[in-house]
Amino acid sequence: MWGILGRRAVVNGGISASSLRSRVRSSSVSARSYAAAGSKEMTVRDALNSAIDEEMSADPKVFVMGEEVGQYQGAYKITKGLLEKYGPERVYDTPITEAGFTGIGVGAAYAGLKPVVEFMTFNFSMQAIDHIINSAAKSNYMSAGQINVPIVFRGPNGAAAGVGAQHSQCYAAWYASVPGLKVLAPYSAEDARGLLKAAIRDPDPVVFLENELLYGESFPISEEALDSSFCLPIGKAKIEREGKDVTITTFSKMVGFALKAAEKLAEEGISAEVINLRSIRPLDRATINASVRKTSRLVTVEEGFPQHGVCAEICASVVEESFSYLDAPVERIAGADVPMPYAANLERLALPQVEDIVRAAKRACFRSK
Amino acid sequence: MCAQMYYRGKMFGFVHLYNGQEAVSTGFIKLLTKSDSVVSTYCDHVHALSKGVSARAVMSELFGKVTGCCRGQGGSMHMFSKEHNILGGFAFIGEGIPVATGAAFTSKYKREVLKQDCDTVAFFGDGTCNNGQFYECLNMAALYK
Repeated sequence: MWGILGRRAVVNGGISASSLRSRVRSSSVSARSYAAAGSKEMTVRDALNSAIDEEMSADPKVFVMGEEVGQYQGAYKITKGLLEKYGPERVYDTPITEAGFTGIGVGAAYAGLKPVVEFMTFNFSMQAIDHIINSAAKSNYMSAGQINVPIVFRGPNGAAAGVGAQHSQCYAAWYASVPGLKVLAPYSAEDARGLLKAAIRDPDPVVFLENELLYGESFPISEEALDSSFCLPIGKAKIEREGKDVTITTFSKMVGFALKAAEKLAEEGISAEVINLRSIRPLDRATINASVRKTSRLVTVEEGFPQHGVCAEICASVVEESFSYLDAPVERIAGADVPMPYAANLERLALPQVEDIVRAAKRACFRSK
Repeated sequence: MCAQMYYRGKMFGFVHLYNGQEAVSTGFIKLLTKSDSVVSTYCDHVHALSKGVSARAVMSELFGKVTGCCRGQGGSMHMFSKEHNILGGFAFIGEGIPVATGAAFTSKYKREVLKQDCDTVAFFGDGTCNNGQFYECLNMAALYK
């Protein structure tokens, strides 16, 4: 099989088979280390808390700012214990003034500090979006590199449970379209720790999209990930499950759904490769395309609105770079094109479910219409 | 002169003049040191000049030349200088106020946590006092002082 791929790669001038082999080998090594260290578990909440704690301890320029982050211990308890440990000079409870405190955070970053600004949900970031885009993202370019903005904007993103239209939007596509921003979306506890530490250390503005429903979920975590110097590279996706028949790309909570879908597909003889994007901007186009060149089929999944979404960008990238490798049209599974309804049954219909991912993968494999 | 160049099409985009108001900012900026910061609006040419950015660098920036203070990447409304602590010209009304408050917050943080020292001035017009961000920052400046 590798021989066929090697010949096809040479004929089409694509990636060499040997580089595909080494890519697959390295991802299986990481899968092994993940499972091998399975004795320790950590919730995403504790992973985020420990990441902020360690970075504050290592660098006195790092401080936390947001609504309820101090005395209340965090609206979702992500900043629990930080006020007691670091004091009110480093953990700031703000009034309910997103535009104001986001701008203050950006100004502090201009002047050399490293703020971690929490939005109670990213829906509220819309009140401060001018500062995220115009004051933070664009400044390094407008100042010709003179001004650096080492700020992190973090908080829960996307749908929760029954919180209605104004509290359920996914902002990945909006922020990922802006040059000058980095946009990260962790899934597991290891992702949460490694990516948040990388974000806080990064000299550029980072939008860190968490998920409220994942905060309480436990994941196995390796000794390496628990070390205080642990950091994940920004811009690199993770192959959560290897496969050879269809590539499923997704991020955040949908990674869990995609893995469940892959289990169901395996029962029917379809081997799905699940890619956890981790980084929405920069997008790991190399990993996605290498996978599609191996499987020849793409199903891309996200919770957000379908038009101009992250899935649309991935489909465009694959069509631009790997068109001749595709054996089926690209499949895109996104949230419904409607403001999020309140009723539980309607909310379920408005979001991708495991059955939707299974159906799309089967369609890509010509097993159903 | 800028107005003439603009009308002749040599300068492009937006050019906002500060003619007649120079005295106010010049007076304030005279009292600042090099390490103190200034945050401005889109009428930022004079603030940059007063703070010490060379006239040549400001003019080049207005013409979009690579010799400008931001290599032609910022333009009339976005003058930045790390050396002279100009933290930008901002286009949106009221946008610079929170950024300046943040820079001032940093002075306080540096003094209390990092044990270092400096000041910030924000310039804006009277119309900007209608803007919500202005009041948010007044509130937080009093809260965190």
